[in-house]
Amino acid sequence: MSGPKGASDSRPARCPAPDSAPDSDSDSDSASDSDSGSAALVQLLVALAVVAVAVAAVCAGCGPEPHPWALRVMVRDYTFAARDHKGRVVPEGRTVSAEQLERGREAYLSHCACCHGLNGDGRGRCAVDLDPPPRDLRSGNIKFGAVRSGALVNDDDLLRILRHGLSGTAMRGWHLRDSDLHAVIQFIKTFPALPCAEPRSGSEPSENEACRQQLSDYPDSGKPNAWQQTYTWGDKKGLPRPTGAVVRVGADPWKGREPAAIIEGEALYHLKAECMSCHPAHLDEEQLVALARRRARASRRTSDRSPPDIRTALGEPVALPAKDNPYGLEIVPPNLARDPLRSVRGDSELSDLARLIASGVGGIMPAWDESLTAHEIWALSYYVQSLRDD
Amino acid sequence: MSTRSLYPFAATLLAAALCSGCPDDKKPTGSSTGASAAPAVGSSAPKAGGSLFGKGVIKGSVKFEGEAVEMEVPKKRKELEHCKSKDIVLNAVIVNGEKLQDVYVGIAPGQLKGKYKPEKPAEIDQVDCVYTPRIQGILAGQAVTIKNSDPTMHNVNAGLGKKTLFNTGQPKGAAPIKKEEFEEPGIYRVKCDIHTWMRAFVIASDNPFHAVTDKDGGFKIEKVPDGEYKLVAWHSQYGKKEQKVKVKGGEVSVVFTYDGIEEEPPENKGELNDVF
Repeated sequence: MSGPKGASDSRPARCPAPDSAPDSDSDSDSASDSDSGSAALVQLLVALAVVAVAVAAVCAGCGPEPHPWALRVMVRDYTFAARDHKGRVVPEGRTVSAEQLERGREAYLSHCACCHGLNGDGRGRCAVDLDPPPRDLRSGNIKFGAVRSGALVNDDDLLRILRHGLSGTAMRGWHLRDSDLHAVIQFIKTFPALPCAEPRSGSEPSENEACRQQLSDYPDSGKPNAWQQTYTWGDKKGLPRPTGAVVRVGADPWKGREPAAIIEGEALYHLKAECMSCHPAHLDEEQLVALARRRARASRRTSDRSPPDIRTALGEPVALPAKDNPYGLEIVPPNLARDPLRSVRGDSELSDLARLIASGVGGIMPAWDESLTAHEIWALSYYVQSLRDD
Repeated sequence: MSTRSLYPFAATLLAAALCSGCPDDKKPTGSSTGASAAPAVGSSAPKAGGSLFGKGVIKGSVKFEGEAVEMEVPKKRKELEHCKSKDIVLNAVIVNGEKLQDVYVGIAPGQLKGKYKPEKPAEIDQVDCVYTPRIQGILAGQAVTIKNSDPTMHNVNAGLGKKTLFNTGQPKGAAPIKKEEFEEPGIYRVKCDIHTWMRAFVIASDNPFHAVTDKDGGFKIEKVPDGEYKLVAWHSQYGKKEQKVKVKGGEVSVVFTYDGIEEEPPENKGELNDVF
């Protein structure tokens, strides 16, 4: 599996699926190129022996310990939260056949499990040294959807991430058949929700115990994860909760006026939207005051006339402590001039930036589509792009 | 595909086949617990009769017998340009003469059969880098309008338990944002990640019978239909208390007592550590 900067390795990762198998895997390396039938037969026997051990290991868990999720054959259909291609809520959700999920499971085992783990917890054996660590898929928290920050991402978002990867992480683009990608997307929605008794969980002890009991009694149903959750109250009771509405930014309104867009974006970044409350400022204090004066003179709106909130510690990054975000890691907002931007692709930089600013980032960066116009969002995108070109 | 690469699949299929007989491999029950951290839904509580409103009044006060944490001006507030102009102490615990302010008191969800419709959106404003009100009860499904009266940008990050509901940026002078995501009963927290002392709590219930204690620790809930209910009190530092109350037309009096050694509730862990 690819390392932290493994984007150059384009072969599909070959990770032995069950954690008990790696030894046999390396033992058979020398023989695996042989075409001889008898060698193959011997191998098969060895394989069966290994399997028997694996099964024993796995099935020893018939008692209290549930099996790793990705080793269970998918035998039932699932209904997930969904939107149709026009972004409309499908109130009854989308039912995915066991057959497709099974296909997804196999693809997951071959390509994803090594990092994301047999339980979808992001703790596969290839994940050990990865920084940032692989996403824990059980929570349904995915950062880079075109949905308002905090909302559940759509299949299109997952497909974009699978196809193109996330820069600055070990998640690279996967060039698999579309049918496999779609199947994997459905399969990862079947992981049971986070276990109940995580140390930083805010739940009451009694609730945790009840939840743990439920998980060990019914590992197959468990606590529903974000994609399987239904309304528990009101008129919609029992219906799947929908995925997030798609945030659209429209066409670039600044085409042909790029320099003007950058100037507008710079002012928005440092004044109105105060992006520098979290990301570093890209002007020094003197420039900032001058910019504010210029804008105040030009502005007809009184709300724009008050001076900017120039922080005493200008440029000091604001980190979100691990306990205050759903990802369990300290999150430092990127320096937009320098740091890799996970979901911004080289060939669609501007529109990706606009999408990112409008929708925010998975609950941790706020969405801006409700309080900035598309015009302003695109101007900010131009400005951020200009920072990266320097 | 080499034989080697088949091992995992073979192993999986076999394991799965053999394991399918495991006694713990039960089929799903189809039931769903949902994500809601609804405050104490009591299935054993008696159901009230048909009419939506009655003539009962639940009235009372919340006492505080103990030593209240002294509130200070949040450390970070003093550093931030638009907030440092006013020395406003944190409003997490307000005690006046042994009476506790800002305690939510309401009939716990799941007890009244009627369907209540919200009339107009509830409101939260951001003034002087503090949410007003800090705590309020709404009907689940009621919209909440969020305003920003400050000359600075805030982000409004709302969540239920570990789940983020929404997170929206709101610059100075921006129009109010109407949010309809408070759909299920539960204790929602609202915070700003830039001005980290800012916290508000929106408690959504399936009935409109709730109030928040005033500076004298008093509350009054009116038009309550007759019945016996579980009444819940919740304070953002001292958590939840419950008691039974019987309403029969007239006024009934209720007193909740906090002694200041209660643990922080799960809905608001670490506020004081974060702020001071």
